[in-house]
Amino acid sequence: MMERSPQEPVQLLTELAQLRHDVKRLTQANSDLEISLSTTAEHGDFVEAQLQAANQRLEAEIAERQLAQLTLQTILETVSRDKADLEMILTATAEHGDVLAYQLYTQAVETMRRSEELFRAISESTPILMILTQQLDGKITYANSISIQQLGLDMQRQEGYRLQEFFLNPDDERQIEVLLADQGRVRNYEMQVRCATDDAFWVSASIHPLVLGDTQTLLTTLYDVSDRKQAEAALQQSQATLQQQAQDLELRVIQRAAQLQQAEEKYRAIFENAAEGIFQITLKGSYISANPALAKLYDYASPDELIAGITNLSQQVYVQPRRRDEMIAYLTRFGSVEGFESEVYRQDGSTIWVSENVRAVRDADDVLLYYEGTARNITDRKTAEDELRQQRLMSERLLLNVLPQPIAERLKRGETNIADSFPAATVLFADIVNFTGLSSHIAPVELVGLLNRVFSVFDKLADRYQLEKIKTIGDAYMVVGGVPTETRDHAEAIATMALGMMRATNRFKTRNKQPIRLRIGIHTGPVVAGVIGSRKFTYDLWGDTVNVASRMESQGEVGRIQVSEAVYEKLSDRFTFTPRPPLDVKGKGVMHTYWLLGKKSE
Amino acid sequence: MNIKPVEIKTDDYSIWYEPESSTAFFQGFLRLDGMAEYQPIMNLLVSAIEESDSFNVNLKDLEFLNSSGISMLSMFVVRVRERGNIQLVLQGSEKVLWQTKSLKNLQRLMPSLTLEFSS
Repeated sequence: MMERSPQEPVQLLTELAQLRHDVKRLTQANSDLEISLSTTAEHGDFVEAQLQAANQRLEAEIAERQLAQLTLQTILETVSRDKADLEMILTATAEHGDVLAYQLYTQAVETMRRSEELFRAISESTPILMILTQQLDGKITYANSISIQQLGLDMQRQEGYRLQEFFLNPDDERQIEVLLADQGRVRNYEMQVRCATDDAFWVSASIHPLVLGDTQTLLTTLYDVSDRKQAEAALQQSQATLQQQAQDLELRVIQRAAQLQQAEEKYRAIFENAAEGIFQITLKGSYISANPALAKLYDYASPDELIAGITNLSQQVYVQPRRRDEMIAYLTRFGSVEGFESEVYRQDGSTIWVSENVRAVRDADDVLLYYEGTARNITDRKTAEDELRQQRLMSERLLLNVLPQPIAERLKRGETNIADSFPAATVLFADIVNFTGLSSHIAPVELVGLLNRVFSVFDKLADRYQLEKIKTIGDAYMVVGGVPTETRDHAEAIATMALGMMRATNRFKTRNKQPIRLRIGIHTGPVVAGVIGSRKFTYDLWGDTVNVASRMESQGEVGRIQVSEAVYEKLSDRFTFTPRPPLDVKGKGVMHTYWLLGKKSE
Repeated sequence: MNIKPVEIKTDDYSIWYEPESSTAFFQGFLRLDGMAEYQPIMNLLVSAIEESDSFNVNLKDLEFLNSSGISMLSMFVVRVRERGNIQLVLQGSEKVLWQTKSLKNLQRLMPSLTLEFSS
């Protein structure tokens, strides 16, 4: 509450007046409030009623809104998902695009790298000059190694090069420009290009326009055709040479033909006039050609008649059946034969001897074509040779009649005075006993003929027993065993011969039926045999053995064979003997001798 | 007019549907200009899934697919997901770079999608 002070009476009055005013205002206010209250109440009721209605409406509205919100929520979710989808699709698409871009870029780079590599490999390995130039001014922008080398380019040179600088002939530049303008490119244009050493070489040029970056470029390839050009030139040269040579050859052929004709005439003359027969014969054995001499050789009037007449040499010409086969065999083996001597028939059937020289004629492939050769009549020579041979044989035979063969050989070798000692030989003497008596009854010629027949039989026996006949002395016959070739069975052979001689003579009779009687003596021992003197020499025996053998005969008996004791001792086991009473042999004293009777039978 | 092409073939690519295996085959280079041009292919795929409750897309021989193409494929995957009852299999090749990268993104659109890669 307020504090009271001394001035309060005035104040209080003022305050009172204030209070009165307040009360009055409050009363008014109160009445206003009362009015207001009632108004408000009324209004409140009204409002309340209105609110009630509004509330009801709101509640309905809220329910409605909640429904709408739910719907919206659903829509939002769908939209959100679609948005997420779209974002993902966007991501997928963007990433896909990136992958593609990467892939394409990598591929493009790789492709570029490969094509560049390929181009470089081709351009650096090819022997063809490859050059890129700017179409505008002809400046070289690229040249492969072979170009740099061939043209002597310095790629570092500031001002570069124009390709046309290297054209030897300025016309080529204009020609190429015209071709490029007309056809858009150039193919196989041949021209000369100056190289590093200032020499020129021939190239075949091809030019192909292309766009590199934004630049019109020309790809020029130059193919070195110097070799071909040189070859062409050489070819032309050699063709000219060949033509010249052909002319020369033609001339020489004409000359040679003339020479040949002369030679042909010359050889023809030789062929026609030759003394020898000249011929060519087929493999089957007929004539291809023959000269007049051959025709004459075979008794034909002309070569034509000969060729027509003889169609089978083997049968018609050669006397010896397989003679031609022998010649063919020779020719097959050695290619030729010389001095091939054959007896042949002439047309008239007579035979002559010919000597042929023949060779086989073959072609370059060694195929046998025919035979050719010459033939010569050698009949005269052949006859002379035959006669000579006959004569020699005769004289040989004669010599052998006189001398044993080994002795004859020694004499032919020039030995003289042959006298060989033989320690053991057996000698036989035989005598035709009544020869002297016979001679008075028979004519001498007949007697000699008889003697010859008897002694010929003895000769055959001597040959059979391999004994050596020494000689005949009148009617006596002397033969030896073991000379001139020593043998072991000489005594046995002589004894066998003696028995054979006895039997043989029994068959002989004279014309007057007179028998021929024989007396034989045999002794064995050492002898000397040989040839003495230089004229009318004979092979003879010397020594005591010969004398004793002679005595055995002369002191024997007719028809008997008397042998010495030495013979008996050698043969007593194989032959039969009878002893003879002791005999007084002239110049020898008393000897025991035996009669040989015959061979002991087994 | 509801046309259902079974095969679309040009010099660059070919696409066809085999009802027996429920498989759509894509081959070659597919680079059509914009979604509108992909519509016929989309139609082919959409009509194909109406026939079956499992569906394969064989992309092994599809060497190239542009961005519009992958968008079309994405939308198709979404369509399949919306259908809700289809087992979708995408068959790809490890040798084709875009397939190894982009097909995984399609799986994000539809986790139940199966990816099969062959080498």
